[in-house]
Amino acid sequence: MKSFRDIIIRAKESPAKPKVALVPGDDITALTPLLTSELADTLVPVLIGDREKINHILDETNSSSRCEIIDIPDIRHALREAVSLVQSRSVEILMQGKIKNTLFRDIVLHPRTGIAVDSTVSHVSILENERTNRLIMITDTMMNEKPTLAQKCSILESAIGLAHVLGIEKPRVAVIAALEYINPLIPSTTDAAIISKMGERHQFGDVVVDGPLDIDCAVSMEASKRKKVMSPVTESADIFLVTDAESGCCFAQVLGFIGRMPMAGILLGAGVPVILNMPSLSPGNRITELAVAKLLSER
Amino acid sequence: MIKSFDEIDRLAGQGDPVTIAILAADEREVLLTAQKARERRYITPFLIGQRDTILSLSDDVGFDVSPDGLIEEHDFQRIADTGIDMLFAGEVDIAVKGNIPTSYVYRSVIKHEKSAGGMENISVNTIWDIPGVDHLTNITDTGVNINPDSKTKKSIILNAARTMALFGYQKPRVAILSAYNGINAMLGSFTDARGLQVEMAEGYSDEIELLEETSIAEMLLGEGSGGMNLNRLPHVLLVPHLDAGNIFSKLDFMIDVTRRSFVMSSKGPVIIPSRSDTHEFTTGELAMGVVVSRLLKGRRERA
Repeated sequence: MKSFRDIIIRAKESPAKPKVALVPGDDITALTPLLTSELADTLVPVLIGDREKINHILDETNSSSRCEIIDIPDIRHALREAVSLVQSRSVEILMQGKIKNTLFRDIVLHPRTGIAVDSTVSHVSILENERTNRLIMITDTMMNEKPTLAQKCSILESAIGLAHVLGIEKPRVAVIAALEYINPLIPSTTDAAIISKMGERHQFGDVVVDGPLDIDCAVSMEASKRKKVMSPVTESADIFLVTDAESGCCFAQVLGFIGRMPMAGILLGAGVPVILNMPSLSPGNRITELAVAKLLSER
Repeated sequence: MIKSFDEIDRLAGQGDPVTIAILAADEREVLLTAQKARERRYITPFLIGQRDTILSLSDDVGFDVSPDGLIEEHDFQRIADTGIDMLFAGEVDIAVKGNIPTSYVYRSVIKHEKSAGGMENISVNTIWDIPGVDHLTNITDTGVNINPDSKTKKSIILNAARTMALFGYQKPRVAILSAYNGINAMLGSFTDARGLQVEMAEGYSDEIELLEETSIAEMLLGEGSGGMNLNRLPHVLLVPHLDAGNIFSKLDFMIDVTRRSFVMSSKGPVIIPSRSDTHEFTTGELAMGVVVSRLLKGRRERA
């Protein structure tokens, strides 16, 4: 798949019909793509919240028959129910509606009682690079401030899984650091070198991993030549594994908002794919997120 | 107010050339830069480095080296110190890194600032010219401070704001970037941002307008509807740390923007081209340095 359109088409064609839990179930912005997009018939919305409010919206769109409603008006209880549904594998996708991020985090991502116990949760930003006609993934763009080497490996494994779902059979990974050579005093460069060696030993499966690379060596063959760095992933990386969430966030936001590349995101490592509520996201990119989540749920 | 690199290039070509120390000029691409900048009447260069190599490469690229303009040095630190000595003594207006690791240049500038009682911290200003945007944007610090604490971030902001003031941005809009959004655990960058917003509200309100937003999306969306507007991008963006700054500043390789970077020392600009930059690109950075140097002189004379 080379574009967001390709992802949506693939998701639409796939016969599975996963259940999507939305909390709160009456958020019109989150509900719209679930009820009216071209993916609507391929998903089963499970709307958790105030039944009266939810029904009001469903009646307007004539969608009542396609949705399951769980009547829990209290938002905290609604979130706990969503966690329970994920844990019991009763839903395949979780979607955050209009709700305070900290509340969602405190209940859904609670380290002992949430949906991601003992695992590294990471956020992957997927961008459509129209210049190169390919999709790129940047990870982690949100969750891990100072990931350890082990956490970076988990973050990478999650992204590789996503790449496979997006039809990239042998993902190419650039492990980004501030320098393209290894400096024993800079952990991001040594971590990158270790991950690169692990990749060479097929510890991440059938992938090509190289690092440390600074961003110019990762994305420009000309720059790479001038720096005398020969990398098998220069200009062809599908996944950019960055040092931490700050770097990832800057990277993705600049490409998405200043570079105007279409951008979607998904939270991985939580048992089910989680779609977050990002007010800056366009309606079209929200549909892409649903499509990505649907494809991931079928793994 | 200078709004684009076209304006910078036009201004650089006006007036007398400025003097420049080239730190380690013993590389072809460096000499090509010097040649191009001299052709455009931007600079009068002083070449520091290995004499024989410089002369041999000069012949190759057709660069006429004046005997007074060549200073022989071999050791990297001595090369950097010689050029930065000249800058701080007022013998040249600008210094530019040639074929030498950046750390030697930073070390020398920091040492000179300290002994001159100059700037507390130095930082790299990466200026972006974004097509369709009505102002220049300074991304900082993209080169010196690996993990700046709150105090250092404050001085980086002021360095950048004062640099933008030279370009005519009298009270630049400044934002402190953070990846914190409430889904993730609290990040140090966000705590720093909130602390600095309080601290700098008093005492610096004449110099900068410090925004509350810490994410680019929030800044571009602004209040109300109307979608993303790139003109809302602040004049100064403080990145959380060097890793993020390095990525941000070089995304001109992926999107349609143009970049020029320099360190603003108390005596003049120090241009730090990347080894991946071409001589055409670095000539543009020199044009920026020339304009900054003249503006700085003008400000000193007025003071």
